[in-house]
Amino acid sequence: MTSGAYKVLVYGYGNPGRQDDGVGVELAMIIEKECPNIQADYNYQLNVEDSLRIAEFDAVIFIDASLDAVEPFEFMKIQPSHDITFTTHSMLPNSVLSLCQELYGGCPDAFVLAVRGYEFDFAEGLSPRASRNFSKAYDFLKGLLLEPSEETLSHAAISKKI
Amino acid sequence: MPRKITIEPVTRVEGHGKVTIQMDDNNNVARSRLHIVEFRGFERFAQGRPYWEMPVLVQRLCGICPVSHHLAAAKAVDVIVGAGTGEGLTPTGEKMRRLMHHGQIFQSHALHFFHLVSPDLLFGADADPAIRNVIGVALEHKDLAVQGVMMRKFGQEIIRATAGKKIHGTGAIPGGINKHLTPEEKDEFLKGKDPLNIDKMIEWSLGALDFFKGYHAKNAEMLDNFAVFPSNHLSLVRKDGAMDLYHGVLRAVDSEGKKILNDVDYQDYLKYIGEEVKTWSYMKFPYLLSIGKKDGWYTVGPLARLNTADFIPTPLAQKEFENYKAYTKGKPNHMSMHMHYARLIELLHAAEVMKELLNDPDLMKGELVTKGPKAKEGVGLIEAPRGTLFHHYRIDDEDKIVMANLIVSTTNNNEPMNRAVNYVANKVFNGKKEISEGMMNRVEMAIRAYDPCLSCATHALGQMPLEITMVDSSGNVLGKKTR
Repeated sequence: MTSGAYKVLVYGYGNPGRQDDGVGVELAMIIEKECPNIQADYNYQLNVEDSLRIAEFDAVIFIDASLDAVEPFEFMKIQPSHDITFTTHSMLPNSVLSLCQELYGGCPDAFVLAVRGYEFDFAEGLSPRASRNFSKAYDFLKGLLLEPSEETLSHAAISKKI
Repeated sequence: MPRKITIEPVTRVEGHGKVTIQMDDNNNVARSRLHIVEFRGFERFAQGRPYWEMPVLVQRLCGICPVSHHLAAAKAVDVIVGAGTGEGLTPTGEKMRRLMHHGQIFQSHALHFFHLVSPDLLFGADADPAIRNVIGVALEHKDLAVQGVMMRKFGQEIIRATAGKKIHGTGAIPGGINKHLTPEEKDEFLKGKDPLNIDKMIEWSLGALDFFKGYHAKNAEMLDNFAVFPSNHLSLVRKDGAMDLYHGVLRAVDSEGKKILNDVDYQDYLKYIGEEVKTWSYMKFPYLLSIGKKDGWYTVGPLARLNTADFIPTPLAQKEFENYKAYTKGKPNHMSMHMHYARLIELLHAAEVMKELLNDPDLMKGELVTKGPKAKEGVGLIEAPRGTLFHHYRIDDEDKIVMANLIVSTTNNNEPMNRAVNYVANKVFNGKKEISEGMMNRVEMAIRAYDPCLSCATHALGQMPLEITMVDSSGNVLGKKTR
């Protein structure tokens, strides 16, 4: 597997201590382990400093659990936007892109892999249904990252606004 | 016709909160209430788990301030393993934890000021929310936005170096810490390429204070009169009365500054603090038992900490503390918007403490862990960015948790946040027939001053963080706004 000249960051976020909320982190961790030429990162949630992190890449794939994604997952291209949540505590991927654009003069191509989740209680590990979605999402992602390019990622994306 | 105005964030799992403003027949505010759904399930979940898991386990609670929960839990567990109540750790153990904690305070305060508060100050409460946000700041005041990003990053790197991991950090363990700081890490923080070094962080912290003071000079009327009400204040202080965000004794002062909780051992907090349940809110209302439910409520957080402390033990922050105290002639400050001033003084203090610690050789050598006679119960308190955080555990003979009690900062601030909302509601909603963007934002500003932890640990795609619904007495929706 190679990243070629097109530098891709896979960024999973969520809380692995809350069951399916950790699906993004788990996917990013397995990509980090299995795909050494792809850079992966993960955290509880997105925040302002991630605008700096993503600025180094040609493309970023954000991965998160979703309550309403079509099973087993959706993959979509996203654009920068000013949507800001009520509190300081997290940012939407679109907002991170927008901040990156304003601060660093441009932003990478960006995609969201939204994996359908079901259970969000205090526990480690994915629910059985989310585990199945995880496996399918991993296969999809691994294939996508074989020879990533703007064209291949965009082609794979479903045009759907979050 | 009496009307009810509801401001309701709709989130997926927890952190639900809403503001309900009940209007009377004369179109004036009859009553306002802030509801935040506190997630108490964790306390039950902890039961039956081994006590030594707690410092890692509690990070499931919150993806926003996992470090604060990590350290409060570690402090409670320290007592159980016989390592004392904050003073019994090895110098390395205590100092590494202090560095982690001040990194957390620093990044949290920087994020709050630069990316949440500064848009309100720069663009005004009535500005279009499409502009009045961090991206608007980036467009119009790029230097401030960049500083906020880099200060947050610096604090996060301190946390990574001390806690070990971004997610579910393991740095603090029962009785100490699990690693030293490496010389390379120390040098990077002290002498790293601009701007990611501690001297630049101190310089920018001073700059943020200058920005706030400059703004205050032009807008004192607004800042000094927005959500002002008398309150008791509670925090940890060092035994000599100094500000100490990691450890100390519990002190409370009344609205005039008289001590009403006189530097007591927090292991005995149940002797001093009760939690009232009200039918209309899931979140409890803590109060000082000696004063009672009606008047014993208190404020925690930056404003409270500056109102309880006698001094700040770092020179630059102390100098600013003197200006802060002089403004209210030595009396407690009750101006909600001065919470931001207090937060910036703490930002500077945290940067100074980090510099002091980074120059301390104990971080790179020495014993990491200490233990002593085991106990069945332990209480850990810490001054989290948003205020005093309580963790209390009791274990059985098999080392399993049989009781866990947590009082988080946002719970401690339940009553003052309600008062702040009520103050603003009475100022801006009386006589109004619909909610304007400016009205909505002023309510948010009152809540935001306390930086409550609403959104919390889970955040899957598709959430709707804030919704305002306005209904009349018959339940007819008069208007709705979402954020």
